[in-house]
Amino acid sequence: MKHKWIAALWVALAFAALPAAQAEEDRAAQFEERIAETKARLNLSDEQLEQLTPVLKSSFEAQMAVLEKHGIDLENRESGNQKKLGFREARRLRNDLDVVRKSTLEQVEGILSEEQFSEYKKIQDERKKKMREMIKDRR
Amino acid sequence: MRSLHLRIFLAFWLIIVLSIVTAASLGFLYAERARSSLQSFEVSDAMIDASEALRGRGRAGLVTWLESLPFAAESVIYIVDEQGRELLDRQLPGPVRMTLRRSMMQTAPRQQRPSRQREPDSLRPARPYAELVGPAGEVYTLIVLPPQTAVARWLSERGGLGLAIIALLVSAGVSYLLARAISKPISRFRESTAAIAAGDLDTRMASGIENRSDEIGELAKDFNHMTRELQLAWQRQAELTSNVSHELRSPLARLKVALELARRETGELAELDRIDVETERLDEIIGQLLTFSKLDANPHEAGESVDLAELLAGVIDDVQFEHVHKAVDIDLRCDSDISINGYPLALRSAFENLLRNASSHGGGQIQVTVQAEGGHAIVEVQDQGGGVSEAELARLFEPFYRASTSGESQGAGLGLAIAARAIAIHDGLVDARNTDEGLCIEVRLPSQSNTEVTT
Repeated sequence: MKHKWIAALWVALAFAALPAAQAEEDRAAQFEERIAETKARLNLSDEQLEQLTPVLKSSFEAQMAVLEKHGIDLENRESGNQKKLGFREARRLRNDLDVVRKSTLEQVEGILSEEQFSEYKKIQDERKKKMREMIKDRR
Repeated sequence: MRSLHLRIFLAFWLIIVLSIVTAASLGFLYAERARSSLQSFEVSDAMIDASEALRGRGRAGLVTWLESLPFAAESVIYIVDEQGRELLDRQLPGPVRMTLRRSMMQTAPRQQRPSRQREPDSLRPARPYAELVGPAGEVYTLIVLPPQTAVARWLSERGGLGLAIIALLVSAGVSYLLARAISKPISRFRESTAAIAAGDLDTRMASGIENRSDEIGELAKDFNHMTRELQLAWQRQAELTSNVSHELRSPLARLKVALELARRETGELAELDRIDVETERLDEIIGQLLTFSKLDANPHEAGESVDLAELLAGVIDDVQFEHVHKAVDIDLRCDSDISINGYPLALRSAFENLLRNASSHGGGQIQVTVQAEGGHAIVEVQDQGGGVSEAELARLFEPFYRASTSGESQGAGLGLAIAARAIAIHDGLVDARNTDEGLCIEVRLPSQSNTEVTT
């Protein structure tokens, strides 16, 4: 009887951890997708890719942390119970994300050529717009 | 000359003395020449020749004699008949004509003279010119004028006019110099005070004026001293504001940490949410104060060429994102590529505050237009918020001023003041007016070709 209870508890825990694991997987896939896009558009060498990957990973994680801090869940943006952003909160979110983007640009500038850096800024702007659209479309 | 008072006094004195001396000299010269010609009067060869010509052939003889005179005669000789006509139909000099007319009037029969003429029967006025009497008793007046230079002749003919012209020229020249000596520094003072009133406390009177040793030089020194003190006081105030704001940030940060700790211990409480909101508001006000005081002291960034359309597009994007909860549509219309030399962060801050103000108070549709006009870039931000009262328009850009239509807006009244200050450091102007739709704020910035930003 005791073993049955323990087994049931393990099963419950496993089911509870499933969404978190799924989210983790989604984020990893999203990051991989970003790296692939960046590599293709900037025509990165292997050496550049090696240097750039940790910078972009830390930037990606910092962005996710900022979103989390402000209660934004982009994976479940159509869940119907998303928190509405007020003017001040939206401004703080914008400022926090800008700080991350600026810091990323400073680190990336030393790795990329002038042409690649200019293209990277375009990529960053596109992602910024996309993220803003996703934040706006939350329900 | 050391004193302006002395300069004005001497200038007026000089004008009066010059006028008197010129008038007296000309009058004296004229009278002296008349006296000289009367004193030197004697029966000359010319008179005898003319008399013989008249006796021999009458009027025709006189005409022939006159025509035979050499062209460049030393003296000018005129002969006038009883009707006042010169025999060769020449124009008589003005003073001669006047004297002759007076003489003819005096020698006319008594009944033909004006009634006011005082002349007893026993008195016959002297004739100024010799007379020739013909065989039939006809009388001709012989006028012999001494030789004259062209200038002397001009002066004798137009003496009064010449005097007036010389007096006018001399007095106009001296008056112009005097007026210029006074008005030029005064107009410089006016320009400087206008620049200071517009917020440019770096304005000083030029060293040329300051180094003058008269009252205007003293005034310029006092003026420059005043602006230096004013600038210093302003800088101290900006530093104080900046330091106070900076010092307030540290306890505010500790307050936020304490708030988070309290949340963890007590869970979500409405009071804690309220403290959070007010703390955030305080943080924002302090941030705005810091921005304002930094703009007042120095932009602290490098000046560069700024593409207005690009800058505005970014600001619009950010402001629209900030109002994600509210339907705010900002439309940008830019008729051409317009760049200005400026400080990007300060300009961004200016337009961000203008658009935030329009979004918060106007909402709905906001129209931003950029156009070039006579060396300036004109940016207009038009909202649909109904505007403000005319009395409030002039005060909108004062720090901490909140219009009565601000309603529930939580702003501190610093946004538009920051915008105005940021525009002012670019030598630009910002103005607000009411339109049919709402409030329209116009920003006028010198475009790239007209500006030089110093860093």
